Amino acid sequence: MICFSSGFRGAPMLIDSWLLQHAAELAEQAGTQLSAAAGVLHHEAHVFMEEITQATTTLHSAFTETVNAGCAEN
Amino acid sequence: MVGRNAFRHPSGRVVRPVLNTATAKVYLVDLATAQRLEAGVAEGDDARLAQSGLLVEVDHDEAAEVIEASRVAARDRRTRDFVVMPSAYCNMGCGYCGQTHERVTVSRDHRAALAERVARAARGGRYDTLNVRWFGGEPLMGYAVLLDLSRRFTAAADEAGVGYAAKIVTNGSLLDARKLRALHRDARISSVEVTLDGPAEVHDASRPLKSGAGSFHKIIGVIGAALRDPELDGLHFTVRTNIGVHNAALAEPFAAELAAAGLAHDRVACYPAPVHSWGNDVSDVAVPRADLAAAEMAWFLAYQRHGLRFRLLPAAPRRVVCAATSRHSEVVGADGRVYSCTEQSLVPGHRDEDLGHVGSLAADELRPPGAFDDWYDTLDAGATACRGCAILPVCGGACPKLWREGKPPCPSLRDNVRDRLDLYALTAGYTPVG
Ligand code: SF4
Ligand code: SF4
Repeated sequence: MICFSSGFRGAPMLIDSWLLQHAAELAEQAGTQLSAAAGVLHHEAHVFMEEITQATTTLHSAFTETVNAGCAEN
Repeated sequence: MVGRNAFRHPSGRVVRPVLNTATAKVYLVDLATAQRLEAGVAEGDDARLAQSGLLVEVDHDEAAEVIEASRVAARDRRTRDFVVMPSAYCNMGCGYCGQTHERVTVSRDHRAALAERVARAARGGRYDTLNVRWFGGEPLMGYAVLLDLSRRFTAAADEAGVGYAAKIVTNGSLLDARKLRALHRDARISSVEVTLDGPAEVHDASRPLKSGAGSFHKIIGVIGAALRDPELDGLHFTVRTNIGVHNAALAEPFAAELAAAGLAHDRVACYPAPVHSWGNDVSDVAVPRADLAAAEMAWFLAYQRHGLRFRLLPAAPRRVVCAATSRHSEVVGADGRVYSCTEQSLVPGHRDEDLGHVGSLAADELRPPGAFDDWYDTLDAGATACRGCAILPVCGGACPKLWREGKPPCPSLRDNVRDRLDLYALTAGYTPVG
């Protein structure tokens, strides 16, 4: 029997269609600043899943690996 | 966690982004799989999803596993952290700051005792690396002390054959090319974090020097020049912006000013942080919780538009939430008192929570137990909302002190992770499908 890891459903959309509003402009910049460590894991079956975790080489420092919440420690 | 929007994959498929918070890895999955992940409906061929950790056994206590991994990481750290305040004074007078500042002499004895403590940690064989973070007050008000201590710390690390890493959190106003070179070369500081609170006039009003003067243009000028200085090509900068009602809507002009100064650079990373209470009343300046997540997205979009570097999603699970939860970390105030948490030493109401004086603690021993060493037990016992929270592996509970004060410190990531995922897919080059 399996269930879903971290099954949080999230808050309602924050900014109406912000993504589509900014998509063209931002997509143009994409690729020049961020490199995607893409590796297609499984093409063949009907579950399609590809990892796109970004390479971390261009970003530095402890904070960038974590989530900030206020104090200088995080 | 599944993003809200669909994207076109180069193979022609329509996909949605998914974050596995346990590993901090991001995937694209087909729409049907995304829906099943959201709805919690498993099917026969889900072995691959299980392999990536997106599916787990129903009787598997993921939170317990995450908390145990954190407990072990805090206990078994091979890095010894010292947060050192070479000054208790600050030359700025920011309205929202919860510290009180005073001029304190860092005595010769205190310096010798601290240097000895660091040297013993280096020699003890327990650690691979010493990690020093210069903090204050404004640490550059104690520039000579910082250089003197750095010289002793680095010599001890070299002699013991352990690594040495150092970072400084500064208001930036006292930086110049000469000091940056000394900090980088002699004090082996590799990362400088400064706070800039918005476009020049807003920054200068919200973070005024005690003299009344502004500092924005000077700071970005010094950073811009440092990025072109070959002697400083190993130095990284972080630009933090404390987001309050005074600047929440000013991401765009701020990002434009930074980019114009040459800070859209691989060695400069930016992040927004909400103004928060250190125990002081910040209700006049803090952005209401409900609006923070959206405000933060606006800042990310502005960073992106102007080519500034930033991180949308955590790169790794957060095992040790902060210095206060591991006895391999300690905070040494300018007066020599030792604490476990960075928001005690200069904060009214917490100053007496010190764990002893650096001169009287046994130099070979870890700092005495602090208020938050039992943090992982607190989490495990369900004393906070974290145990049932989807982002616990990457958040770690954010701030034990604020939880204990009854102020849940949940970062806005909790509220905008799905939007961040969409922006993440976009910035990785995928086209949204309207
Ligand atoms: S601090 Fe808040 S967001 Fe972080 S793990 Fe705890 S409940 Fe979740
Ligand atoms: S307990 Fe909170 S304030 Fe103290 S160091 Fe940890 S994150 Fe910072």
